[in-house]
Amino acid sequence: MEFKINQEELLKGLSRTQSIVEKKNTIKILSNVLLKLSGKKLTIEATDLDVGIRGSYNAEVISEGGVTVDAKTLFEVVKQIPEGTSIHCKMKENYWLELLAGRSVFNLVGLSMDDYPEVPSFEGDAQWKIEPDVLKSMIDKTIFSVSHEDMRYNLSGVYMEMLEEGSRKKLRMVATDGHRLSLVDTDIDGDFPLSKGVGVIVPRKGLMEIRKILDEDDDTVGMRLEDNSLMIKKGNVNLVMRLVDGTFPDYKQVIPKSSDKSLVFSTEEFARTLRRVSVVSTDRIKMVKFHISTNLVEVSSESPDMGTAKEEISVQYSGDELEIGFNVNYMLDILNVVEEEKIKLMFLDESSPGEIRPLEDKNYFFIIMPMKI
Amino acid sequence: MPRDLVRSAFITPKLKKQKITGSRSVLHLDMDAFFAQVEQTTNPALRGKPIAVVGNKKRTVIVTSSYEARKHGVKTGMTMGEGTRACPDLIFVPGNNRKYIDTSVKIINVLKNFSPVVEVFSIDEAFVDITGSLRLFGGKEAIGNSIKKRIKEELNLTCSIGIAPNKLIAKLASDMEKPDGLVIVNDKDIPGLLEELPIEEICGIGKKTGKKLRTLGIETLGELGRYPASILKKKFGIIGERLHYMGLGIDESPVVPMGDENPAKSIGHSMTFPTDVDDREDINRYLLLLSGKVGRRARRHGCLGHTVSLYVRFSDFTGIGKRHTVENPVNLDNDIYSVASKILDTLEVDKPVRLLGVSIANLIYNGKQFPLFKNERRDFLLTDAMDNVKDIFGEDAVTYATVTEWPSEAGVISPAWRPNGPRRVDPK
Repeated sequence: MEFKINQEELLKGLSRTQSIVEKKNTIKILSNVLLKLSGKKLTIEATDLDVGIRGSYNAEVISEGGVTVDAKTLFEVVKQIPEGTSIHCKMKENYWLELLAGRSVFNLVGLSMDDYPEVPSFEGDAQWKIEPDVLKSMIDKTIFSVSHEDMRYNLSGVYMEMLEEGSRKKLRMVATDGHRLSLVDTDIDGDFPLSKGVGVIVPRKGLMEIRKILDEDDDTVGMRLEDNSLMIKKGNVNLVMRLVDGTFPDYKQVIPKSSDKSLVFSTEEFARTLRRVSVVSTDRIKMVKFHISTNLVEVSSESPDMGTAKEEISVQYSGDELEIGFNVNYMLDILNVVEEEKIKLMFLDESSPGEIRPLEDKNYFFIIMPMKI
Repeated sequence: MPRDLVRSAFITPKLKKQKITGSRSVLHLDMDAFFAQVEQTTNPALRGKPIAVVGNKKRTVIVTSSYEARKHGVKTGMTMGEGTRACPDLIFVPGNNRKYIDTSVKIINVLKNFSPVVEVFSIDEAFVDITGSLRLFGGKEAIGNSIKKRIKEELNLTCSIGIAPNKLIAKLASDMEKPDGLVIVNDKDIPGLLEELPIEEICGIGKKTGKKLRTLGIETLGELGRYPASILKKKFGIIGERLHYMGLGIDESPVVPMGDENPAKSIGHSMTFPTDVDDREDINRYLLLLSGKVGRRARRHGCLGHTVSLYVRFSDFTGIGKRHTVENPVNLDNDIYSVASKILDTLEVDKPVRLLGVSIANLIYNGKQFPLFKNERRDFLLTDAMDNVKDIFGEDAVTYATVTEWPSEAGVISPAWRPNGPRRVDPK
């Protein structure tokens, strides 16, 4: 196994693998990347058995074959090699990988490619397609609501299902951590292979990897569902991820039906107010209080150790006076991804779910549960 | 210069001096045969009779006996057989920890009326620094008597009180006229008091240390005080110096009030089972009981924990502990229970379990987030309702069905017991 490759090309391929390889090192070979040569291409694969990536890169193949080496080490080595350098790699006895670049020589410990788990490959056509910008926006609006709790396995990913509205088909993505919920719909081109109302849960880590490759170029994203895996194809990169094996809760039940109070805020100004007021809070979970009275919202926060902060916002409001508390980070997470200038905060009372939507109805909204004051 | 400024300039040095010499008045309260008395108070049929409080397990021993039983030679630590031999009419009463804890909390609340500086020393003992309250209540004796009177009136229990310049002597004093005693020891009385007192009488010198001291020819505390400190230090290390001061009746340790220390770092409960448990179902019930205690205490303090820890001690006294950090902090009984239970799943439990401990740490003091999903919200509201009932009717008023049927709570409460705060409760 021997090849020559440009530094930039190799670095691009390796950097895609860095967040996928196993960091805990429980199975040594999972912290390695697989370098495989076939035709005129170098294929780089990485997997932690839940998420896998395969990318192919232009290389001058001298002799075919493959080897696995530690992903982190190889990446760091290649990163230090000056741009534009041609790198010459060669497998030696006992899976050592010799790497020559300019006047540098590296010999890296490797393992046999025969022991590397197989990353399923994207075969056949995409079942449905989506534009990278659209998918990017969907992921951004949902991924922050995914639960970080490993106890809540069924919430550890974004729920995807298909809706039919007449002849139009929509892909819906929903995420929740039990305190807040994100929901976004979008038209899709093609066929989601599951029947209506049956969805899948895509793991957070896999979505983050998808999100990363979406920034690279404008190539359309092709998707497939197969054997409990979601497969993604974009340009020369394939991603595959094992779906979360769990039942997503009935999210429709928590969508409020009767929010009689509504406040309109400028997204940007509202976010700034929240950031200012929440400075005075030492806790890991920062609560802001909203005191709502006729045409006025008083946003405040306090901490016994630091003091208090208060800011008033003029709004149109004529209902009952009330006080309601929210986790400021949940609010800001939402405001960060809203593209529209104005948002509407709707709620029923201080212990029922609140709803945040763009003022002009769009294809997405958020639900946020208040905190006990 | 305004007049009171001039005056204050004269008063200050005196106050300062007082602080340095640390002339304190420390009160030690010790309930008389606490568990036995509580049983006699709650069950009139037992009054005036020799009773012994025992654990619920088969291999139990006598935890406390009433003074009627003590007259016949019944002693703590005897087996039930030994007890019956000493006093054929002895009535055995299984201990009820929850009752004792509830009573203890009430006693502490009485003490808090006299000074904010109350240190709970164990379930039936407490120190109170009354230095600042003397004038308010009319002196040491008056405070001692008022406390005794209130405990008698409100709880129908008797106690013994010692008042002295420090904790060491106060504890000694409370023991001098048991039961129902009140002993005041002043600075000048201390040397005379200690002179002839056998060394083991003082809190802090046990059998082992006592034996060692006797090999040095030290029999009484007076002798201990005169013994060269340097030799004690050589022989006992760091404790040597303390022993020397003990002999002199000097104890600088402050009365540390509960709740006034730094905010709690963790909240935990543990319990030794009456008999070792190996059925997972039973372990789970204990786990729920402990989680409920931890949760209740956390909610009371208005805090939640990001980290849940579980400690398991096995029948052979080996132990294993593990912690788990959750993204959203917990303080509901069920949430703590489910994390603790998950931790237990990851532990290898191949021997009978002797003790379980559950605690939460990484505490935050606000941030109770309403859950979004209905079933979780029900839990939240249910816990709230249970707390309200407990607030009104006492800690014993409502609990989980799986826990009520529990006949055998451990019979003994450890000296480390505290009604609240960060100290882990560790019944033996």
